[in-house]
Amino acid sequence: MSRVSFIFAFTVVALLIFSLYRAKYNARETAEAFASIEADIAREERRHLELLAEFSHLSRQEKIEEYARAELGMVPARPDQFVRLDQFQSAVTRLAMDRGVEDGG
Amino acid sequence: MAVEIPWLSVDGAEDGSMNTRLVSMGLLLVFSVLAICGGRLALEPSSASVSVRSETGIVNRRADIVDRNGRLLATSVTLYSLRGNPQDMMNGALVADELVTIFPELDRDALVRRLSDKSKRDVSIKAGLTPRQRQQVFELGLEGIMFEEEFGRAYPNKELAGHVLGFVGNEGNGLDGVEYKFNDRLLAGGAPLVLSLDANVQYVLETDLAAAVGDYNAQAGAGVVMATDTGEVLAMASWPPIDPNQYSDIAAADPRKLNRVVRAVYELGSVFKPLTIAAALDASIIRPDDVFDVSGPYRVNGTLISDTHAFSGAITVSEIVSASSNIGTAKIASQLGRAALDQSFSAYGLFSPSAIELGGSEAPVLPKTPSQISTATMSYGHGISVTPMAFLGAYAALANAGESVTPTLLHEPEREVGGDRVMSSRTAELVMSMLRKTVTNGTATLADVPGYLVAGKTGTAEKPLPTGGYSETENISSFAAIFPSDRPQYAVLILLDSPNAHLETGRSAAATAVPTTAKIISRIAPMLGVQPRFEPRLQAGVPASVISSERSEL
Repeated sequence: MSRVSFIFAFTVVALLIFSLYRAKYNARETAEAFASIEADIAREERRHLELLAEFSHLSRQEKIEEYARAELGMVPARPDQFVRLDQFQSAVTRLAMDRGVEDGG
Repeated sequence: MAVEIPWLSVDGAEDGSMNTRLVSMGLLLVFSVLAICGGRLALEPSSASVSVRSETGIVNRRADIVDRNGRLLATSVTLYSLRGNPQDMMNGALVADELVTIFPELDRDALVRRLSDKSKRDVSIKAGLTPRQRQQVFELGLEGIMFEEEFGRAYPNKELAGHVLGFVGNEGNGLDGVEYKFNDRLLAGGAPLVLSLDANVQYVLETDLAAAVGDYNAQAGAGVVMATDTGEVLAMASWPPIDPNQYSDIAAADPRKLNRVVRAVYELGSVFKPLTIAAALDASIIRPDDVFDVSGPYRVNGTLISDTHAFSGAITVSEIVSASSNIGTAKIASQLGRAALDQSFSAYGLFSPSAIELGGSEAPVLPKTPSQISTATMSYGHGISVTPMAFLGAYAALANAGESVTPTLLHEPEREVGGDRVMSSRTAELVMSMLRKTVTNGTATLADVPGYLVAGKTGTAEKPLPTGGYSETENISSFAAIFPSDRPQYAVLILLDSPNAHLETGRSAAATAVPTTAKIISRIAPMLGVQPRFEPRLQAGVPASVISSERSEL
C-alpha cells in the first residue's frame, strides 16, 4: 500500500514539476516573443522618426516655394486679392464693372 | 550471482520497517530536491523579459523641437559612422572609388591612401550617415567596411532658424541656442519643446533678409518679428545664416556663428526718437501739437547737431517724428532732462540685456558719463548701442498700450501675460499715430503696404569706427514697424549693416530697410491672419454716401 502511495506521490510530484517546466518554458517563449515585438516596435518607432525627419526635410518651405513658383506659377497673394466676406458682393460687382469697361474699351 | 544489500532486505519485520522508513526518507529527500528545483525554476526571473526599448535609445531620446504649429525643427535620429579595415580589403582604391560615387564630397586620393595602408585595422571614413546612406553603402557589397551606430541630432529644415536652434555636441549636450538654454528639459525627453517661432514666417523673414542683403550689397543683416501682446517671437533671423547640421564644423570666429539679433549691439539711430518722444509726452513736458524751431544750427556744448534734410522753420512734435528731425528730438530731450530720459529708457528695458531665452544676450553700451551732448545724441539713437532684440522689446510697448513686453521664444498659450506699465496708454496711442504718419507722409512711405496699416520709424545711423568717430560711407539702416496701426498686433525690426545700394537709390533706411520690411509684411500678414482693410473706393460720379450705404446693406 505504502509502495503504491509512494509511486502515486512520486508521479504526482513529477507531473507537477513537469508542468512547472512547461509553464516556465512557455512563459520564456512568450517573453521572447514579447521582446521580439518590442524590438519591432522600437525599430518601427525609429523608422517613424526618420520618416518624420525626412518628411520635414522634403517639405521645407524653400522646396515648396520653388515648386510652387516654377511648376505651378504661383506667387504670394497681394493684399488687394483678399476680399472680406461682407464685401464680397461689392467686390464681384466692381470686378464685373471693370471687366465690362475693359471689354467695351 | 545475487548481491545482498542488507538495508534493502524486506525479509524481517523489523528490518522491513526500518527499510521502509529509510526508503521513505530517501524518496522524501529526492522529492524535496526536485520540488526545490521546480520551485526555483518557476520563481527565477526570465532573462528574456528584459525590455529592448531602452537598449535602442527610443525611450530616453533627446526631445524634439517644434514650431508653434508642430512643425519639426530638430529631432534625434540614429546615424552611422562608416569605418574601414584596410587589412580586409583586397583593393583599397576600388573601395574608395565606389564610396566616392555615393559621397562625392570625400577626398578620393586621401581616401585611397588611407584605405591602402595595410598597417591599419580601423580607419574612419565618414560620420553621420543616414539609414538610407548606410543602405546604399551596404548594397555596394564592399569588403572591409563596418558601420558604427551613433547618436545624431538632425535639423531637417537646414538653415531655417539655425541661430535660434543652436546645436548639440558629440556628447549629446546642447552647446548653443535653445539646444543649450533648454538642455536639461530636452535631455529629459518626453514631449517636444514648442517654440514660439512660426516656420512659415521664419522662412519669409530669412529669404527676404537674404534678398535685401544681396540687393543692397550689405555686409550683414538681422530681423525679428514679434507678437506685441504676448512677446512671442515669431521669427528671428541673422544673416549670414548657419546650418545647424554643420555647426560643429564651422570655426568659432566665423561670422555665420554670430546671432546678430541678440549677440551684437548697434547704434540704431532715429528709431529711438519715438521712445524719446514717448518719455517726454508721458512726463507732460510736451504736447503733440507743440512746435519747435528746427531750422538750426543747434549747438550743444559746442557740438553741432544737424538734420540730414534741413528744415526752414518750426515743426510740430508729430512732424519731428515723421520727418525725423535730430534737432527737434535733441531739443525735446534737453527739456526732459537726462535723469528722466534715463529713467524712461531704463523702464523700457533699453539699459539691460534682452530677457529672451538665448544664452549670451549682449548688454547695452551706454554713454560713460552723463552730459548734455550725450543726452542729445542718445535721444536720437547715437552714443547708445543695444541689441535688435532689446530694442524691439522696448519698442513693442508702444503697440501694447504702454505696457512692457517681455520677448520669449516659448509658445505657452496658458502663460499669463501682462507687463508693467511703462507709459500711459494715451501716450502710446499718440506715438502710434505719429508712427503711422511717418509711413503715410514721412520718411517711410515705401512701407505703406496697402491694407495693413503699417506704422513705423526709420533709422539711418552712421557706423562707429573701431578707431573712434563715425564712418562717412557706412551706416546701419533699420526700420521698426508695427502693424496694423489701429489694432497693433505685430512688431517687425529689420536691420541692414552697411548697405551699399546703387547711387540713384541711396543707402538710407528709407531706400533699403523700409522696402524690405514692406515686402516681408505683405507676405507674413496673411499667414498671421491679419485681414487687409481698405477704405471704400470713390468712383467718379458716385457720392461717398452711396458707397457707405452699399456697405451697410451687406
